[in-house]
Amino acid sequence: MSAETPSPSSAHLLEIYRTIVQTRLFEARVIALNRHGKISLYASSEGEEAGAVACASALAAGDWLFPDYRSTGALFARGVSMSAFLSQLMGTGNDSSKGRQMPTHIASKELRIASVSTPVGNGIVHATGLAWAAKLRKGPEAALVLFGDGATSSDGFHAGMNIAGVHRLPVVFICRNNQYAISLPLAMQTASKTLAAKAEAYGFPGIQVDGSDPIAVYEATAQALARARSGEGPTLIETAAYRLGGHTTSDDAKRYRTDEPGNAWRKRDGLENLRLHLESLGLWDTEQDNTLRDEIGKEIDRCVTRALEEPSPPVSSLFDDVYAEMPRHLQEQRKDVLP
Amino acid sequence: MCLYGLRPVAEIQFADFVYPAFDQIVNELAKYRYRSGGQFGCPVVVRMPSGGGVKGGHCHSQSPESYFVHTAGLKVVMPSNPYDAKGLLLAALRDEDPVIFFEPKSIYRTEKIEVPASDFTVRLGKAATVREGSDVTVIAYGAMVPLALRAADTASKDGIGLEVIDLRTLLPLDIDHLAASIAKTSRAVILHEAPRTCGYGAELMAQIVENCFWDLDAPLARVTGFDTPFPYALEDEYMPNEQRLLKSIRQTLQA
Repeated sequence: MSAETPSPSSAHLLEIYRTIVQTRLFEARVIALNRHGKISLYASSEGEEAGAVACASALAAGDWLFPDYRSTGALFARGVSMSAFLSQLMGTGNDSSKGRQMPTHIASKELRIASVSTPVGNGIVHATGLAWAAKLRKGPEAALVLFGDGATSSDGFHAGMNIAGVHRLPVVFICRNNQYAISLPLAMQTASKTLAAKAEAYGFPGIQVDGSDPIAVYEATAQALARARSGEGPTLIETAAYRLGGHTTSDDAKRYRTDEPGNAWRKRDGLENLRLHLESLGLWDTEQDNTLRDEIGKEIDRCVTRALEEPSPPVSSLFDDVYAEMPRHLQEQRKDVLP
Repeated sequence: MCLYGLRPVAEIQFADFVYPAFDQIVNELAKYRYRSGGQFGCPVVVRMPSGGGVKGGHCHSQSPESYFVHTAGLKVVMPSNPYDAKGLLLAALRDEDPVIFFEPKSIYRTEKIEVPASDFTVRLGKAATVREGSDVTVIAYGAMVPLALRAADTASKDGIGLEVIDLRTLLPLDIDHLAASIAKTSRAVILHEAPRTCGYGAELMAQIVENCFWDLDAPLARVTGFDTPFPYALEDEYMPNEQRLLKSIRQTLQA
């Protein structure tokens, strides 16, 4: 990376660390809630939190985030509250999307977070479209899209990357290479030496960054965003990581892979890396860490208690928002569910 | 682009080539408003030339409207003449929801009527009676409307009055307009180019039976494309024509 790469300030680094810790503790609680039947499904980002938090932390307020279903750290970095996310995960009436999507599929107009697409790679197309619109209107906004290694085999990856390259669009592609597309290992997904190498064919830079090094991810993203804004076009950033958990809580990864690679990856945990770095700078100590974890744990308790009490969306809302105005046939069908 | 406030218009060169975009249209475009709890709308118009009659073979002739009519969140439009084409297209461009706009390519150059240069719209979701008659209602859309009108001319020589309805918008369907016509004629024949099984005619029949059963004096009938791939050499035999339509009308009248 070039010398003018923007580095995060100490305060910013501490904020990134807090958000990574929050993501780790939050996800552990969500998985417990899943096991208790309170949340139907969850896609854990354990081991990948640092990269997700760091890249989204580089966004400006006016930028747009296009997350996928394993982007919890990025959502928190963007300003989604644990309370709001729990409403989404439980599909309560307080969810900003009115309980319309399966867990982790958030959308927030206020925070400029696009609606999460379930088909992998679709968000790449949408981020490219947003960036194209921004370029057409000469706006200052850039788009950041997160996707996994599996998405690089999708039609959306090709369509989005291709058009983004052609028009030099202000979009940053973050490919979290966690080595698995559900059960399919990377070697069975592509014969490319790296995923970053794919960018070359589309005519823009692709780089590899250690996903367990949040400072490196932050700097790479900040530089890519600066490139995007200055009209130099898109960047593909491949963050190397490993999906420590299953694909989702409905998946048992032991059926298709051994524990050894995961155990090795646990030793290069982004959370621990950053904690040790902050301690070495004199910015953090064990006592502060214990206090932080305690505070976050209590906040999670409060948020979970509240979310469990939130009512379901009203039955009458089933037919809302299909169209801007409810057509006659939906008005008729609506009578079938209303008392 | 919609998130940014633009109103994109996508043009699919031929409707036969829309299938790679099916996921984006059905899972994304159609559902974005609903799944975001109304936070984001997608006012996109997807234009595509559709239908046969141009010797285009399997991949330049299809009528895939039913796939989209089956999709909650979309509006589906097909004009039958230049006036409606302009008015419906302007209405679609100003609509807050995604509109699939089929352009029946066989009548691009054959239907000639005056079209005002001024700004006007034809409201989405409204059918039109393009020929009044009292004996049989013929329900058509797109390039089948001029065919129905030709059949109405022929039938009138035999003293048969066909009422021809141009649906113009397939989703949402203007069932009230159909019901009013069938209340008068008590008989209906549905006409479309698309294959019969689960074609749009199947939905029309279902809704007519639900809404107009006691008005009917004869079984509903369909004149459609066949459940075969769209052929090249035998295109004329595949496409609904005046003879097949008139035969069906006579059977309906005899029932």
